[in-house]
Amino acid sequence: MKDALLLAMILLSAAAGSLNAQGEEIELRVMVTEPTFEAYDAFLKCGHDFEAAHPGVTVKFISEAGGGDTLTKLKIMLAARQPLDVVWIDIIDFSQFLDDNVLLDLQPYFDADPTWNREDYFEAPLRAFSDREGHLYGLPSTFTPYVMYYNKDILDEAGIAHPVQGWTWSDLRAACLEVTKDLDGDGTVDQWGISVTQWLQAIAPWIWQNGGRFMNEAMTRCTLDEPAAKEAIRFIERLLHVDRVATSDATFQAQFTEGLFQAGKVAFYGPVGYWETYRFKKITAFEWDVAPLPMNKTAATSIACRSYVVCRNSAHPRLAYEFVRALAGEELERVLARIGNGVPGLKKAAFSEDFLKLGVPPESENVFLDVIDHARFQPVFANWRDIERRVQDELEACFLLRTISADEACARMTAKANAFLKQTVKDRARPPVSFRAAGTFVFLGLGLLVGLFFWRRGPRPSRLRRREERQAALVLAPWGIGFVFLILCAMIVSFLVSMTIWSPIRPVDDARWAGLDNYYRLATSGVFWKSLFVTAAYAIPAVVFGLGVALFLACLLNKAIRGISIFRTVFFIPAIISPVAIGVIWVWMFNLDNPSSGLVNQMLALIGIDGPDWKNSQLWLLTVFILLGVWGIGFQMVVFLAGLQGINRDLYDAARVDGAPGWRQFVHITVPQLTPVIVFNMIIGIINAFQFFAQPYIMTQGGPGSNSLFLVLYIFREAFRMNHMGYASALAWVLFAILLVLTVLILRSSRSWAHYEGGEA
Amino acid sequence: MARVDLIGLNKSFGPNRVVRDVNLSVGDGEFMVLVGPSGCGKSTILRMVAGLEEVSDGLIKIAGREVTGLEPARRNLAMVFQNYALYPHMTVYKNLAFPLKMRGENRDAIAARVRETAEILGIAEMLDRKPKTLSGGQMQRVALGRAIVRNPLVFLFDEPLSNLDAKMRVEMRAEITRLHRRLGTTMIYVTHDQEEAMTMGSRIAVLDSGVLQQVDEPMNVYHRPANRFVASFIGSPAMNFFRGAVLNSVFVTAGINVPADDVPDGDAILGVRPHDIVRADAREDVRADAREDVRADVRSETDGDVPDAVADDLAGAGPADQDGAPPIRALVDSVESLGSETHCGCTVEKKSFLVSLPGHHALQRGQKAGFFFLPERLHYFHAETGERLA
Repeated sequence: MKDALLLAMILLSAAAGSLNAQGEEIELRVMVTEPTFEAYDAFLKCGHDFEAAHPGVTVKFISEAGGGDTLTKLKIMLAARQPLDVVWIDIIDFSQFLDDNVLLDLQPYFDADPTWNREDYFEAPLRAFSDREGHLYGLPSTFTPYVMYYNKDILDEAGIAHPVQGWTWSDLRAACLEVTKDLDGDGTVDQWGISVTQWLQAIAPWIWQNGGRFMNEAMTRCTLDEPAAKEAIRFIERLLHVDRVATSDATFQAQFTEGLFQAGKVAFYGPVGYWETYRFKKITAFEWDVAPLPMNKTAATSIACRSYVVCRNSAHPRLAYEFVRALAGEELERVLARIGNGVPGLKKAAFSEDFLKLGVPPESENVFLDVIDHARFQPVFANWRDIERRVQDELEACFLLRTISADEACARMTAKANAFLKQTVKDRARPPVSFRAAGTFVFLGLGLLVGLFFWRRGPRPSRLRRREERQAALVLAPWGIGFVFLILCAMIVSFLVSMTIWSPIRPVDDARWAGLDNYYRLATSGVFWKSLFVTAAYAIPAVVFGLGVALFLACLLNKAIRGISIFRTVFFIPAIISPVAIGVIWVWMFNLDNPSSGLVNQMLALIGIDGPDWKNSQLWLLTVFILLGVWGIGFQMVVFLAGLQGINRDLYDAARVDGAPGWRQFVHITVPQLTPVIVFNMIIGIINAFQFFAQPYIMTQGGPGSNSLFLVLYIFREAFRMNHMGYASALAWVLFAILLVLTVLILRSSRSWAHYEGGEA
Repeated sequence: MARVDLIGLNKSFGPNRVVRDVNLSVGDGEFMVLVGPSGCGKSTILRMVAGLEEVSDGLIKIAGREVTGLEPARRNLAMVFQNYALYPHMTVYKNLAFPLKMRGENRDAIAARVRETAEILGIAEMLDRKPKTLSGGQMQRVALGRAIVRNPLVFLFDEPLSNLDAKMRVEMRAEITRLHRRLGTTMIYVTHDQEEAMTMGSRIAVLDSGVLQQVDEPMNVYHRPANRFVASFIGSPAMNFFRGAVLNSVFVTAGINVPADDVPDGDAILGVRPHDIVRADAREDVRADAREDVRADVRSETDGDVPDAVADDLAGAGPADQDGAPPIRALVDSVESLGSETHCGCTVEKKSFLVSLPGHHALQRGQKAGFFFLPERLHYFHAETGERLA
């Protein structure tokens, strides 16, 4: 059964990769994410150099320049057991991958390598990529500690000294209070103290500086409810909501958009990493620099880091290790430093002119190197992203929405995280799944069904009939075999998986039996109900309006006028455009992040309408998707058109003679005659609407919050980002059940309102 | 009730002129049959009257009011379609009620009228059924019902019986005739079946290639066809034609020599119906039978009503008048006995013709036989134009 599962997984994987033959030609498969083409070229060069040094070896980069959702891609490839050798992962995901046992312990290779000297690299990123025994799993590419950016001009004007190592929270607060001003006297503040970043890694330093911590030493309990942590959160809350010297424009989602700091309207910005210097190069209106984070009881900062690691299933671990050394080698590190990717993990590159770049802001680039000594990495462990997601909501509720106080937020974060930890412990303790038993159960069930079929079919049929049945079975076999292996098997596997707790990148042996817990969890999950609401709130209007518009267009396009085929083509085209392309086009038209510069709002402005903020209102966001759904009804339209052309023209003649004007002909002839087509289109439309995925995936990724988290998007996120394959399978089955029930309901009810030419009633 | 006038009616589909300059007046209460082969434009004319087809040129008047540009609904007429065009998703009741509903009549009035109509047509039991559960004849009755339910000025029928089997067709023919008698409404009936035309119409209008050929009462069309087309189209089996010349009131062609009174000299076409040929050899024997049989035949063909004139003609059609003229000696090519009559395919001097003899005749293929053409029943047509001569 285990093999069957594996086989199903392989069959299910989107693309079957070519397996490496153990021959002369060796292919190293490498996956790196690189947002800039400049840097990507450097990676390619590194690959070519490696190929030159190792004849017979080809380095194949699987990812593309420009980034994209590489983490998800990596997880899917791992889940599909695709061969991978070297990958580039984030510090946050390291523990998860370590826990999932997909990474190769490189310590033996380092130990055996005479050229290896640990001192060559900064210790912090190395420690971040080591397991509890201190075994090193990867080498850093670039990393960054979190620092504070500041606007020199604002501070100079207010006569405030530039922050240096050792400045404190009270210095920060005093400076903020000093510079926060209403410059033009219109009653609203237009120069702020600090734009405070609010995602968890950015919040962490405050807690550490106050002597607080996230977790206890044993990593079994969240300690955000301890006074030190609470005090730190309260400090930020005070800046934001009591002193009113801080702004909330630097949320995680907004971090790549033009912020107040870039506009020169805020004195401090942070805690944030090196990547902002790349973005701030454009600033010419004022001078800026970086400083260490302000300290309180102690100095502390967190780091962000990416490292090259080797996959455990690599067929050429030795070569992969060597390529990791090459990637983290001096040449590439210097190039990345020059481009401005971050602080090189290699000290030699970090202390070079390539990184420090005299004369180019920030002046105090060395700050990034100075703070490394007190940099910590978060208490990361498997499922950290789960905790992060839970905690993030509460932080936003306190900082952004102001619905809860800092103390409440801390209490809730602690409770949520602890509940999750407890759940994890409980899940670990669950019995392993006996796939043998489950398989036997399933096959017994199937056997029972087959037996029932033969029992119910009554007496043995005649010879002629049996021969006909055999021939029918033969003719149906190609479809039948495909159905059994590609659909039925996958369904059975997913049903079994829905009753387990299992990460798809782990071996199936690790699956834990959960019974109906996944179903219980989703029924009690607010996110599921929200997702179902979002999906239904999209599906119902999209299907109803879609049918109406499709029918209306089909009626228009059913006229015999000149050039009608051109019109038909034009209206059909949206149905054949790739959903991804559609998503991109619509993002551009509505410009969700900055609606006023979107084409739609500019057009609305032309006719004097102040266009809405499409993204941040649940109603308008759904409206965008509904419009999109209705826009792409070409397929339904063509089906309606075919249906219209099938209507006997004499009926219209008769109706005209009987005195029915056009609209009554539509009501009394067209609509009743089309009812079977309407039923068909309705069912297909509902199924399509509930499977809505590609466009929201491209446009909003389900956000903001869960405001566009359509069910399939939710399933995808749970399965391939969160690695909750069992929960995702349960979701998929719930979706299946919903669609089944809706389809049956429509078909049943249609008997009383749809007119079937060949049918009984 | 109303008269219908078609004045200079023309219809073109692109370059095709399918109706050419048709002038036709249908009198109040008249049953006018438009008959002609497929594609002669008869249905197009009907659809123009109905308003379903635009008129390219000309006028249509109903009850003296011009309706040429009006919507069908405003012409106050009803139409029965070839395939009935019943609304398949409505019950019989709703089908019948539809035209009344469209006219905004109140529910009770509709119900009363529908019941009444259903009674007339004998479909009262089927009101709750859907059309597809009905037989062809029943559907036809519903279609009729939908037409008569609202008392229109004019009824239009577009080949209403062509989807029925032979027996049902005869039945419905009588039904429609009876309906016409009962309602007395003007009816225009399109068919390609000359038998329907002959038996149903007060008058029939024969069309060919969009041109009106002859408009007259059925027996006049039969006995005095205006041209060769009408002569060949009306009557079954079709009329025989011979090319030849008339000289001194005698039509001559190889092997045939028959009188042609009042026909000018020159080339001409002789037309003679298969029923108007008798055998010379056994003429005394079959003479009495022939009269009886032909009479019976005509009776069955015209559903009972044999105009006296025809019967008298038959009685007077004695071969005695043929005394002196030699019989036409022809070779018998084929013999088909239908029981009541016998069809013989004959050849004389390479010219083929069909003879319909009453009763059963023991003729053999390959046999030579003598025939007389009944002289009062001969038709002469112009050799080029096909117009009737004399």
